[in-house]
Amino acid sequence: MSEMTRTLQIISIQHELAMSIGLDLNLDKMLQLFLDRAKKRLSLRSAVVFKEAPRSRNDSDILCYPYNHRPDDTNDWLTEQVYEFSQLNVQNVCRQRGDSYYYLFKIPKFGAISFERKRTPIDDIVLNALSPLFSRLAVSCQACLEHQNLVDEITNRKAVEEQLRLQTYQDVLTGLPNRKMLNINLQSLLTNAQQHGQYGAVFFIDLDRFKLINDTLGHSVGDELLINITSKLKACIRRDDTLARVGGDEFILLLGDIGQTEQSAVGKATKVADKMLGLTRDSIELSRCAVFTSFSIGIALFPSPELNVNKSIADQAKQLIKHADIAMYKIKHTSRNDYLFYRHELQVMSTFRSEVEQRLHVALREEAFELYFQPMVNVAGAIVAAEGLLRWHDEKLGWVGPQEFIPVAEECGLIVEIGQWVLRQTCLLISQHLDWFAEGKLRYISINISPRQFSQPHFVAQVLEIIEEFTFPH
Amino acid sequence: MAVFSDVQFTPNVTVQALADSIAKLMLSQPKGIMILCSAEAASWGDDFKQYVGTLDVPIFGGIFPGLILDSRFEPRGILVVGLRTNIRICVIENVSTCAPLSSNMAYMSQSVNSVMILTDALSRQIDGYLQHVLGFLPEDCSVFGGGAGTLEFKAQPCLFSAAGMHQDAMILVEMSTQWDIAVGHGWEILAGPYLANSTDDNCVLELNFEPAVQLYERVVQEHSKLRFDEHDFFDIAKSFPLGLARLDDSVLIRDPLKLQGSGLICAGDVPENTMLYIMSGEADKLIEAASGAVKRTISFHKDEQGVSDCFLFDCVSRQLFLQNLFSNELDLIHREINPPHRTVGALVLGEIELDQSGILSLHNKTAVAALAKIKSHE
Repeated sequence: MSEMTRTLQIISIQHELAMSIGLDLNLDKMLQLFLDRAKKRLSLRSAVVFKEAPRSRNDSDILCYPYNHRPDDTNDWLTEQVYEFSQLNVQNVCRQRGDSYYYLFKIPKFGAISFERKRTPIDDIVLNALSPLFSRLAVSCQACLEHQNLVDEITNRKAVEEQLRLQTYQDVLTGLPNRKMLNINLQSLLTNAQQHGQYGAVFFIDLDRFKLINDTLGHSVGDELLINITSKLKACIRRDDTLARVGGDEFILLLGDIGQTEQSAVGKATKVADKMLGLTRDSIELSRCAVFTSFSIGIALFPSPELNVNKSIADQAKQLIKHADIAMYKIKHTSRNDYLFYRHELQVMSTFRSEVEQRLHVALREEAFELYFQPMVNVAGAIVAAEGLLRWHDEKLGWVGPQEFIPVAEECGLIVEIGQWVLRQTCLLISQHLDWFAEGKLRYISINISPRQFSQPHFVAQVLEIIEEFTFPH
Repeated sequence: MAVFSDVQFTPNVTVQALADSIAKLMLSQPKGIMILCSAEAASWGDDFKQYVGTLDVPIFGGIFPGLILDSRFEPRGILVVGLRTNIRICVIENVSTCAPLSSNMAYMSQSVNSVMILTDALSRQIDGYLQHVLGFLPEDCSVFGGGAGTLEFKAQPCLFSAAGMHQDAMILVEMSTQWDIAVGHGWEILAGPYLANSTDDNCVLELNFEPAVQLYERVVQEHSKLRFDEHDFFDIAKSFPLGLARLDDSVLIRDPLKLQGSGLICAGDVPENTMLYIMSGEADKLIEAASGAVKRTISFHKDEQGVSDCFLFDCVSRQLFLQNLFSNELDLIHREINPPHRTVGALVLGEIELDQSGILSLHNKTAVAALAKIKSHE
């Protein structure tokens, strides 16, 4: 081969190897490409990269360990050679073993590389041409490491973002969308429904007696029940429908595209509701027990004349959920284990109920209740006792019957304070008219106590405390 | 003592003819059988599978563009070779589509002395698999073989094992025999070097930043009277292969088989940014290179007991280039083998060889002869 061709050949090899550096951002792949090319072009038996690493915890020396080693017994010998080489202040050395020549080059700030050539050594002129390549290789190795750090950082950040996204939009226990996600989906469903003239439905699903199960069997059973119920409910709906958990035992289901007429929408929603009620016909088998439960389901269809289209989509969505909630509330306090479609009358009833609750607070504060006593007579027609009856005239609502305000007071808990007020008023009356009892005109006055008041932990103590306030024998 | 227990040839390429040949071969009690067939065997399919299922001797082989028996080149027929040594066969499937990983090949035993590799020549990633296989072999293991297929370059089953016929596969045959490998091609640099600045595995897309075919045709036409617009591409290209120069002054030949757009499809990978030469050859030099390599290798053993049988994997495009003179090459090679030892082999699409420097390469337009060391199998 002529001098010129030889020079050209060396330049071409140098160029080819230089061009094969940094072809991949993955360190392993980048090095592998370079090593493969070097093996072919330099007629090498093996090419190995060693990366710097601490030799041991107590040793600050640098150990180059096989970064990509060949599995044979030469490896230990080569590792030791590379370690010794790393201690020397030279850029390359050649070591001979058997008929093989091992050329070791330093890769600055990264490690070292070994080229094994069998039988014939590599010319000095080629070695000189190779030397500059390793600085370039070092830069690429650093770039790959930095890239990997960046990739790791981005991966970790994405993982955290995903975690945050899940926490923001997902219910941790069931994996279902939470209220936030539900609102987003409902708004998009409403927009679509308005654009395409398709009906949809919002189901407000409440698990009956969940609190009882939770309190008696424990939270772990309650959680297991919710997970079990979730998978059962999911089996009743389509892949694109949204089932969300919005409270302890409350779920909301969004159904889209259920028909172009109200009639067909009612038909399809009824079908789904029936399917859901069917889920609880038998007991639900949990890991350690079986429980009976049922659903109370309120359903609100959209589009609906009840929705104010002049309001924002977000407000309409809130209104729809409220409608379904009202319907659910109604069925829960009548029959349970059933479903009810929302209608305007329910809204009226609900509004009245809210007003009653609000005014009850005022009435209690201002002592606007009145206590009436109904005489109780014996067979001869003589009065022997009396029963205290609560009556309420509100300045806004007028006369409100006990059948209307007592259940509201029961639900919102005011019944306990109302009960105490009744007891106190009755005691006051007795203390003022002790002669009625001394003369035998009355034997007792009875009052009604709500079960909710009875279940108060210090009920007896509270009753005795009130009685103690008044001086009469007991 | 010979490596081959017996060799049978038949010009009929049918499963029945194969069965008849193997029946005769079995009289020599071989421990393994190599089956080399011409292109007509490609349609055997299930018949072959059914037949080899009845054999209780390990078998391997392939379909090739031609067969070699002693000094003869046979374009059509079946050659079956009985082996006296124990062999172990490993088939690697889906070579083109699966990355070369240890998981898709059975491990080589560490005590193996030699490995014959037959591969589907149309598979991609052949070189990647060869380098991967090399990583598992002991230091002094000899490796040789070739690419199977036909000159139609059609994707079809072209390898044989006891499981039937295989496509896009590689067969590794472990042997306890020690072989000396002789390699020669005789091609010389005509022009270059050119920078292969854009390649895709076995396709050279650009040379010196211009479409590869444009530069290649221009240079070849400058050095010959042949015009590409008057001949089939390969009719001219078979005389002007590409060469990758290596540091030990050897040149790895790449055969430009056909055009793909403005790219040159070669039989073997061409790494990007490699410097390529355009090569040319003369019949005498080609023949001398191949036979001379065998002669030199045998001469290393003149003080020992020498070599016995020979496997010869000669590139099909050497036969296409040398034409009638090809028989001279075979004759000169076989002449170095002492009777009663035999030369058997095939015309292949890419030759595989592990050289003395420990480099496992896929060659083109080259002759690879594996010569069995007598002392290794006595």
